[in-house]
Amino acid sequence: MSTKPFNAFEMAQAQFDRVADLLDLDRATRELLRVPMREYHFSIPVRMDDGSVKVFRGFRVQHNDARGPAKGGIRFHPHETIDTVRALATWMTWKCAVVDIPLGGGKGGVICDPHHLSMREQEGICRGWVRQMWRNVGPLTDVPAPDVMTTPQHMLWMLDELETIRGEHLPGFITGKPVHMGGSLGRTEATGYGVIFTLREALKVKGIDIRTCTASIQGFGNVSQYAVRKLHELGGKVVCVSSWDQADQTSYAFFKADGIDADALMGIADKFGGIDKAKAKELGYTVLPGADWIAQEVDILIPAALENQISADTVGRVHEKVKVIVEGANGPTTPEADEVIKQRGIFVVPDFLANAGGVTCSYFEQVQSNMNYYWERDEVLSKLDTKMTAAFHSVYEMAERQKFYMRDAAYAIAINRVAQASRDRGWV
Amino acid sequence: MSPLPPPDAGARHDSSVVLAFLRRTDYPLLTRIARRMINHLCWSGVDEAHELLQRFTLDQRGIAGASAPDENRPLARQSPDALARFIDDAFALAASVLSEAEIVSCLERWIKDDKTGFLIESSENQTTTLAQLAEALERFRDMGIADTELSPSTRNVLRVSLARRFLTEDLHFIRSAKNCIEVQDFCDLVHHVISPPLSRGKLGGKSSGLLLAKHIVRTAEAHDASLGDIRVPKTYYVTTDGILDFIEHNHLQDVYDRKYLPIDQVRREYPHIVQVFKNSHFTPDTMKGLSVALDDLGDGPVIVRSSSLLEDRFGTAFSGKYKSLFLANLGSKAERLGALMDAIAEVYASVFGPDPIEYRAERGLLDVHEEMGVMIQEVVGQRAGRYFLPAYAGVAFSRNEFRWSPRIRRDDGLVRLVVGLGTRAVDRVGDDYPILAAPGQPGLRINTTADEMVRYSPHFVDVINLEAGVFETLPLDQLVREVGHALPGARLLLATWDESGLPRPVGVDWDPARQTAVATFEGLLSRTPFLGRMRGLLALLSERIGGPVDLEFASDGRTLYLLQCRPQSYGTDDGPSPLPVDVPHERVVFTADRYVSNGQLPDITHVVYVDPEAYGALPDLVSLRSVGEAVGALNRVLPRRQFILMGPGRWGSRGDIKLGVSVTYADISNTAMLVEIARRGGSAPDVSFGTHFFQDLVESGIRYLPLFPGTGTSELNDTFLRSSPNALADVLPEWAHLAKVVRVVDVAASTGGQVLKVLMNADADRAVAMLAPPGRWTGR
Repeated sequence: MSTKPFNAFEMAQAQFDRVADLLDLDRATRELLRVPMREYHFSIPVRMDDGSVKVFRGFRVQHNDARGPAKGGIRFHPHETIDTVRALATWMTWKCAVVDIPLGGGKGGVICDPHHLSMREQEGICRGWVRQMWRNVGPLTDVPAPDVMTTPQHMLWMLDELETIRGEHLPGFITGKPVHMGGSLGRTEATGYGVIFTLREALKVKGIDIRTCTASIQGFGNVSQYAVRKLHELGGKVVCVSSWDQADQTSYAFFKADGIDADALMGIADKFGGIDKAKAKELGYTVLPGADWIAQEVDILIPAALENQISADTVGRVHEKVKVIVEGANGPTTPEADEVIKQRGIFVVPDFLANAGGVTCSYFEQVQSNMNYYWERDEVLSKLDTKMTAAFHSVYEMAERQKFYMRDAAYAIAINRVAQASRDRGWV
Repeated sequence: MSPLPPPDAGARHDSSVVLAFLRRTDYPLLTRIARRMINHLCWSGVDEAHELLQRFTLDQRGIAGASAPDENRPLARQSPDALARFIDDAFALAASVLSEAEIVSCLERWIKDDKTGFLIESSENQTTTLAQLAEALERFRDMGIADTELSPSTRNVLRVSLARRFLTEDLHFIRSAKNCIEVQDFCDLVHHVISPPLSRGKLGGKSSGLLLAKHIVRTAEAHDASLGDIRVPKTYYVTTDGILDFIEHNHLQDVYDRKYLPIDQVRREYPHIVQVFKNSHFTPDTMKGLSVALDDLGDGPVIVRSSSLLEDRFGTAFSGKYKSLFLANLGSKAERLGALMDAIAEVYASVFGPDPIEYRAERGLLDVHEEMGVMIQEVVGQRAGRYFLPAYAGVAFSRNEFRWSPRIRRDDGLVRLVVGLGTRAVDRVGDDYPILAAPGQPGLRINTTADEMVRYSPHFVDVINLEAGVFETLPLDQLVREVGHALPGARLLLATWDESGLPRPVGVDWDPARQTAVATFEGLLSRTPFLGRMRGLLALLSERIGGPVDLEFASDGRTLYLLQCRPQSYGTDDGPSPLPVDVPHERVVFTADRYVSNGQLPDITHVVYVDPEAYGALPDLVSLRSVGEAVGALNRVLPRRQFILMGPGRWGSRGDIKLGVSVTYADISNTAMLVEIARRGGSAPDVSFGTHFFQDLVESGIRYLPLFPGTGTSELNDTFLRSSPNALADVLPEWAHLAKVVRVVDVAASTGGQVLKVLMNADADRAVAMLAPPGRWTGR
């Protein structure tokens, strides 16, 4: 066991280096893309409720904006480190590039714990963040969004502060806003639908008729619920979903051979997608241990809940019938399991392509906000379909052409796009 | 008879008229007043008064000159002339040193004092029945004298003796009561007391606490408008000896020896006793009293609450040991009376239940005489659809024993709030979450993200179903869908979430059928003075009662009602633990000196120690995560609530996993305690205060303790934790590869049969974990 401690940014750089080798990138491009282009570190003095002043440390990292304004969340975390923020900004650059939206990657944060701050003090931090950064952020420069321990309320304070300083309305400065404050319709469905759009295309290229397919999904949250609906709409059948049971502090899988009914299950689920197992039995579902979602005899597996669910321990349980895995959650497959999946020839739609529906919808929100004209839900979702479909095919073609594993192809195409933009601008 | 005008209202003050009148009509009263006048003048430093008194005393002895104080012969009887002379001299002297107005004022006060003699006699005489005392109070009321018009000594003796007769013998309590419960208050009280004909009983602990609080608040409201209008629901009291009367009337005397039977037998026979009590009868007198009470309380729901002599005294709270029963109070008068008597019988039976008997045995109170009073109180609330419930209810504590932030001080207090009846706030319910807030830090919230706010919110509500006539627990969702905007206080308590995750207080545009609402209480906490009032109330009551208090309260959405007030109490293992001194260094596993709460974990058999250095050196995400999985696996196999988890920084870290072991509540649900170790020399933000699952910890009674080794006096015995044999491979062979990071210490195996005791004392802000033989630590 190595004694070098884990560092997220070093991990992101190692990943980049590997793909840069595949792409045979030149030294200058590597040097440019390996580290963020700009980093801001600043102090935010805030008058606390007891009259004292406390100084908080704020960050913003703009990893790369060759393809468009930086895009990425603002986190409140008591032990934020600059390396974590750097890593997350880097991943945002690749994520925007893989779905080919004209945005770069950014991330920011403040070292604080909202649990120990009143709302007034948190508002002071948000407004203070913008007072320090307003020259370097904006709808055409850098576009934040809610992230770990930040909420739309924090974002609206930031938006208000920027608009006050600049003396104009700039709703495109922030994404993740409520609809009545310039948010986009279709946001709730975006990630789940996006997962199924990429699945539909994957089945097409594999020559599998979606109407003959069965799927098992881990999780019954927002992503899963809309994925089930979309897949059924397309003629496919989800036979199993798993969900967390708060009372029993464990998860259960709910199986129904003729297909689950998302609406019926949502009717007996709590606000977190926890399904009432007694009522599910009454509705004719077989209730299994939660871990059994992975072992179902299905064509498609969609991990849409947690990280590391397909691991060295569990990958052996994946049924031989499974042909496609679509990663709805972030990082659901461990590297060891990934090797096994590769060997078994299961087709994988990697996470940052499959679940890019969310960031794509954020981009749509920014576009709508900038032009102050808002689309109907169907228009948003149809544009989402177009984007996700195109993104899938670009990655698939790269994978086919270069004989890359899909995950590598997705990174390759993303990094290649950013490298290309940097070259086109004459930076490298 | 029309009252005389006050002395200063007349054009002139003429004490001589009063004295002449008294001389003709009530000579003994004149004598007593003359004596008080001389005493008054002596106290005022008038030398002639001393001389007069001395002369009078010598005259009384009938001897001129000095005499030995210990003479054995009887005193001479005083001649009427000498007495008359003494009276004349006393008032002549008074006229020469006091103003006429002052003399008249003294005369008036002393005459009033004198007229209250019958009440003093009645209340001081322990053989007087409550009925006789009530008559005396009625007579006092008819005299139209306010006790503030009496001299302080008379007022004190009356207030103290009445408090002792009606409320409690507890000196601590009486000290507070005499400053705020006036004689007139007892006059009002007797109209709400139901007692056996020859009763000499009291109202019991709970009733006394509430009465005291009510009057403290009343006297303070006049000075502090910020408290607002705080009321106490209409209440009737059955005296504590009512149970004795009931037992005697039904020939149930054999229950008295129950408390000395083996506890298993008590437990076995208790259901039978309950049924016997419920099938017994009340005396006609008591039934008449209850019937009058019901007529006055009307047909709204009532609660029958226990109020025993031992209950709610300092150190013996009996929390939840005796019954409190809600009654819908529906039907004909006969049915309502029947239900009320049934409930009182059940409360009586609870005196002989296994829980209170065990509780008394543990505290050495088994031999103490116990009697059970009963409060019959209208339930605060309003009708919503077919249900009756308050908008919100809860409990409040002067001392906050569950701090989730270093900014919260212990005396910032704590409130636990629920929708509907307060039953769910009083006890930890395990599967549900009251809203917690610290009145001294009104801006700080435990839950800050939408996910936390929804997950840790009340999901169930206790109500009275007016159709079925029963107390029931409903899912909040179901109630909200059914009654919608009619839910009392809906706009203060409920919020909906828009698609972006922004919470919105419900308003006119809320559609209960379509939009799920969550009880966040944000409106109440941030848009009303509620927390400020609670802070003021806690401060006021703890100052006047002379120690930290806990309260129960409820609101119908408009008015705040106080339901209970008692000294802040603790359960068996929740109180401040005695701390050991001079423990040999090698027996100490750790000590803490910051943010310590109260309690004792007497029998810890295993310590799971995630070595901070080894954890920090793990090279990749997969190994960091696997530590969390190993902890989850240990949580499933180690003995429940007999192991503690110790690890670096923030347990359950959701952001940077390096800051703390990545676990969910399910991975730690069986531990007795969660210890977060800050980096050596580290400061407060290094630890999470358990915020990732704070309310799970609170509701399931899992302790939390942050350690700051290397700062202050805090120590961590690395040698014990690192050199004791690691049982991980024996317990979970599949996780043996993590043995360098996750250490499982089997305390008995490592120490030759000892256990680990964690002793925590918030008053001293100190905790000690030490190795010792099994058994409860009593400080000796």
